[in-house]
Amino acid sequence: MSYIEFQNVVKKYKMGEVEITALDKTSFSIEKGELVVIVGASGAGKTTALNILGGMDDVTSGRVIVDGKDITKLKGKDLIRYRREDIGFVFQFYNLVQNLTAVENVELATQICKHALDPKVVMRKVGLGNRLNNFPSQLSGGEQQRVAIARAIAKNPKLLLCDEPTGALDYNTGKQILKLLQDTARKENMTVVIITHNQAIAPMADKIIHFKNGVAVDIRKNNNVIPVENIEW
Amino acid sequence: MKKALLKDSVKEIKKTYKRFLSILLMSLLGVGFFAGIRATSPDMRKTIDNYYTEQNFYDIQMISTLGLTDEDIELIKNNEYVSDVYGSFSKEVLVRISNNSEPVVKVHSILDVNRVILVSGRLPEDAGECVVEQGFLSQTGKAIGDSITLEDEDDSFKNDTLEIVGVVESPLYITRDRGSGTLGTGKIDYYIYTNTENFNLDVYTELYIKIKNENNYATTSDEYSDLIDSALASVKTLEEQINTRRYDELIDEANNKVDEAQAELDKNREENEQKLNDAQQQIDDYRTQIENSKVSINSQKNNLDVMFSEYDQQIQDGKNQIEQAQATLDEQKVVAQQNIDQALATKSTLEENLSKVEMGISIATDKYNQVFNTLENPGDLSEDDINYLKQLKVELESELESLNQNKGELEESIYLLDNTVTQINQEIENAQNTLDDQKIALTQRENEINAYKEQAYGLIDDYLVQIDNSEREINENQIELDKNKEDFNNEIKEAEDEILDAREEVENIEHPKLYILSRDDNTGYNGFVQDTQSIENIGRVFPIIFFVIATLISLNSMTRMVEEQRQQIGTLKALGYTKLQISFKYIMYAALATVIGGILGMSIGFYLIPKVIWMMYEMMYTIPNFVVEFNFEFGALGLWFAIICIVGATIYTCYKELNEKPAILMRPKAPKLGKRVLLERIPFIWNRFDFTTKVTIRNMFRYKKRFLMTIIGILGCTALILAGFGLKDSITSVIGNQYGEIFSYNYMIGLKSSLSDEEINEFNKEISSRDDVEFSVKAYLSTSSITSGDLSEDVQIIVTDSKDELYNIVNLVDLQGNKVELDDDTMCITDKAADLLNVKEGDTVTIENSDGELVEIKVGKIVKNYVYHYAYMSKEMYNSLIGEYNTNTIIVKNNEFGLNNLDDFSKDVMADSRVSSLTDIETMKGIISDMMESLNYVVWVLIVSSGLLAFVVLYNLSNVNISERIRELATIKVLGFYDNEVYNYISKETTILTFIGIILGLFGGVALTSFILKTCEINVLRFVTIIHPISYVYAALITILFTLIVNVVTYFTLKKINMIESLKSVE
Repeated sequence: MSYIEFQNVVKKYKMGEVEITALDKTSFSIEKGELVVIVGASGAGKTTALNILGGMDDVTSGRVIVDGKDITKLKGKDLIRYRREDIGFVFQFYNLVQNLTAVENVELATQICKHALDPKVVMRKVGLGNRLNNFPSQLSGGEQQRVAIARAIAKNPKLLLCDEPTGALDYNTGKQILKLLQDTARKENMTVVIITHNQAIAPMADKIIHFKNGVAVDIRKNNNVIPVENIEW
Repeated sequence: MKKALLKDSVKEIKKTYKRFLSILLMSLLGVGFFAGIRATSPDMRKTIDNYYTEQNFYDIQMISTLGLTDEDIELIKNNEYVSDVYGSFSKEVLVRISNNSEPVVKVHSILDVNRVILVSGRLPEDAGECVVEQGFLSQTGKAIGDSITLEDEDDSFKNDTLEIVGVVESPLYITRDRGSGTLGTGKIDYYIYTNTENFNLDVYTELYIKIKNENNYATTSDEYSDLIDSALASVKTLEEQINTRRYDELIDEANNKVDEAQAELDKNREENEQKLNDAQQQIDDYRTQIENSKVSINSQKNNLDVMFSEYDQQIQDGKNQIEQAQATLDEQKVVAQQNIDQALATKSTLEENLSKVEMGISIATDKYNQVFNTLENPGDLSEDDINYLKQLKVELESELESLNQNKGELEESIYLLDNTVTQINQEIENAQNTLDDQKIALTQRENEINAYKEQAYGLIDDYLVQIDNSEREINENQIELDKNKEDFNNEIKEAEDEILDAREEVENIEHPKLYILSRDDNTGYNGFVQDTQSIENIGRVFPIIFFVIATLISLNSMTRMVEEQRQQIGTLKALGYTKLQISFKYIMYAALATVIGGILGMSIGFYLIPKVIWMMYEMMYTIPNFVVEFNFEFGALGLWFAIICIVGATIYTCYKELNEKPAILMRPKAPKLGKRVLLERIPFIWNRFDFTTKVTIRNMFRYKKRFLMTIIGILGCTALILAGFGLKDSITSVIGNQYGEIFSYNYMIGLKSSLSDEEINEFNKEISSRDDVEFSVKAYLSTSSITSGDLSEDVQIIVTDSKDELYNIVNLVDLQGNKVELDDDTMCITDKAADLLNVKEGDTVTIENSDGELVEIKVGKIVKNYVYHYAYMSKEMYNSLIGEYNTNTIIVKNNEFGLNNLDDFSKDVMADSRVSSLTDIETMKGIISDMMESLNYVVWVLIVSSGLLAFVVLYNLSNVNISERIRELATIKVLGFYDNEVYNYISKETTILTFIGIILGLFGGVALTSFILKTCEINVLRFVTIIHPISYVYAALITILFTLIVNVVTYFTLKKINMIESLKSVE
């Protein structure tokens, strides 16, 4: 059994009268330490899958097993604990708390985790050792996203989930961020899932999952992982 | 207006109904409170105006110290301002309810002016009936159908005993105060109405004047005030005329009366003197008659005496004669007896001789017979013997013959002797008989004379007794007459003195004093108008709090709304919509919420708030039919304020945003920059905070607007609640202060005015020696009006027998709490009275003395007091300036034992016939605190309204806070914060702000309480801001409770935050 098993997951939303099927019996699996890139057009269901994986959304049917635990069975506090202990999230718009300094944003996450890493160490890891006490508004977009990543990995999660982490960043900065994620996955042996609509960055992944109309239509292992710095788009 | 935008507006309302509701609610509270409180004062004024109009209440009251007449009425009626004048009688009397209850009532005549309202029963139909106020029945235990008796000492009423036929309310008495008078303790207890014909008074005690008020100006309006001022001025011009006429009339009347009295007296004197003289004459005549009778009787008696002495002499002479005759006779008798004795001696000699003879005869005879017989039968006898015998016989015969002859001679001598004796005896006897006859005749005569004498003297004696009786009778009559004479003289003297006095009094008749008073001079009315002003003042301040908060909240909400929709605004702007068209949606939104809320608020406020406030005022005023009006003016004003505040805030926000370029608008608004707070620069403190605390502190300073608003909201809420409790505390503490801090007695015993000084002393001794009494103090209580300039206040003057005794019952301290002592030159007055009279220590005020004259008195110390107005002065000062000190009250302080057995004391005292009233401080405290109970309304109004305010404010702020920081919250949720951690993350802020707000609010509450107390202070009360510690606790707890409720709502709102939606992207 894989580290993460996504099995026949169906997710339907009710929007008034209309029922939208976001995920339609989709299945995939991710191994521990893998860097996975999920690609697909808008509305293909990739974010839904990520949200479910991150314990932010429930499933209509199907099972999601993370490290041997069926998270679809988790309710309330257990689900929060799952998010708290096992998941790190990186968003497109960083979602830093504006009123906290960079290191405090990291601390925001670490203070609630049992196995958290030292925020300052993590900050240095993401290359912001000298910007610890800056407020988000004093940082560039890329730096902010680094803080967001630091905040996610400082929790020492089982799973790092990134939703369009470069969506709001320029090319070069985006590249640096992707590199940081790739390096993190390598160095920390962390399982990382990145969502992107940019097919071009797929080669950096260990596994590439294609979503189309709510189904993971193509799951393939990338045997030729290219370092991010070598990817152009 | 484009349809799409309109649709969008409506949809927006639906979507954000919570925000819409919160703005609506703010507008409702703001407008409701504003309109409600502002409308209360006009409603109250309208109520009193209606009441006065309905009851035909007087415009001007005219009172003369010498009364007023029909001529005055005619005179005043001719004044151009006057529409009607009513002559009215009123009289203050005691009513005897029981031995110990003798309340003072003011009896009024039922008139068509100041019409009474019939509460139950019916109005009097004849002069033997009356109607009373409800309080009279409930306090005295009388009921409709019972009778009461007025102690009508100067015969002011035709019927003293009146049957209670109904209960009324009088517009003359809208407060509980019944005015002051001269009877009893100087306070009038109740009013009573009876028919005019029951009054036995020559002149009206007062006139009630209605002026022509064609425009029906409301009694509280300036127009009315101007009209009355003109009317007063005009009527005042008649003062001189009325006074002079009344004075002259009175003088004439009095003079006439005196003259009449003099004439009558003279006539009376003449008549009576004549009568007395006649009587004396009669008595004298009678006496003369008696004297005459006496004289005649005496002369008759003398005559009789003479006559009878003559008679007696005659009798005596007769007796003497008889005696003489008797003596003579007796002498004769002796001679005769001697003769007789001689004769008898002779006779006996003779008879001896005779018997000797007879013996001789007999012997001779015998011898003869023997001889004879022997001769006849000579037988044996010898002749010689026979011849001897024959010789002897012849011898014998011759002897016999001589003897017989002797015998005859003897017998004849005896016979002659016997005859002589018989003759002598006969003669003596005859003489004796004659004499006896004479004697008898004389005795008879004497008896006759004696009987006659007796008869005559008896008559005389009877006559004398009669005369004696007559004399005694006449003496008695004389004494009586003398007494009558003396009485008459005394009477005459008295009458003469009286007439003299009366003449002097006429000389002294005071010039009448005319009081021309308007409604403003009616203390009840004046107080009421003042109270409406207090309410108006409150109405100016209270709603401001609400409006300020409403504005802030709306500003906050609308800013948030506009900011949330930046992108849409930017899009619309980019699409070419004008600023007006774009902002229309928001203005519309805010305006709709404001107007709907405002109208709802008005509707509730106009009815609820005046009613609730009125309920409180009903404790003090008896005015029926409270008028609640939909006062468009205030409603519109309030709504206008609300629109300015809320819609203004919206427009401001819109324009601030709309001035941005569409491109900027379409980008998300740069989040507020994170900043360090000052506290961070003090690592010593900062480093001690845990993480959330740091975030919280930084957040608080980051959102200054919200920070301020939350604090202001909570502050306002706490202040209002505390003000509610504070008002209650302050007002209720008035009693405790007055009867704990100032007055330290337990009972005030009113004494019957008939008691003499000795009786009072004895009573006082009895009371003070009771084992439940610590001490008792003799005091004189009276009510007087103190005047300073135009200001005048009724105060109760307390004078004790000695100064030291006063300090025992009254804690005489100045405003700083220093002990104050009385001196003999100044009086102490209580500080509220001093305030109202605007006098300071050392000022001079005037006071009416017992003769009704105004005297000047210097104000000494101003002393602390809370309830009513008092003036204290020494007995010496009272005696010299105001009038005679007469103990009329015994003030009692019970000891510990007594305090535990107060019932026994009051029972004993009430049963005492010397007691006219008993004031029990404990009962009084009870009554006042019952009254104060109604203050709970105020507290509730304040708590409910401030609670609503707090809720709306907190809810709104919390909502805004959440929506503003929804991404942040979603983020920390994603990070795995538990629900309660998320809640803490946000509520810590609220909690801290709430606490700051509460602390500030407690200060604000104290200030607010003081302000309200100052504006609402009643004339006779001195409020001091006193807030019990528990009230602070309550105010804080209630605010916390509201905060908690909001927090619970927040908790669930937070729980429901959809992380995915919130984080998806920036809209």
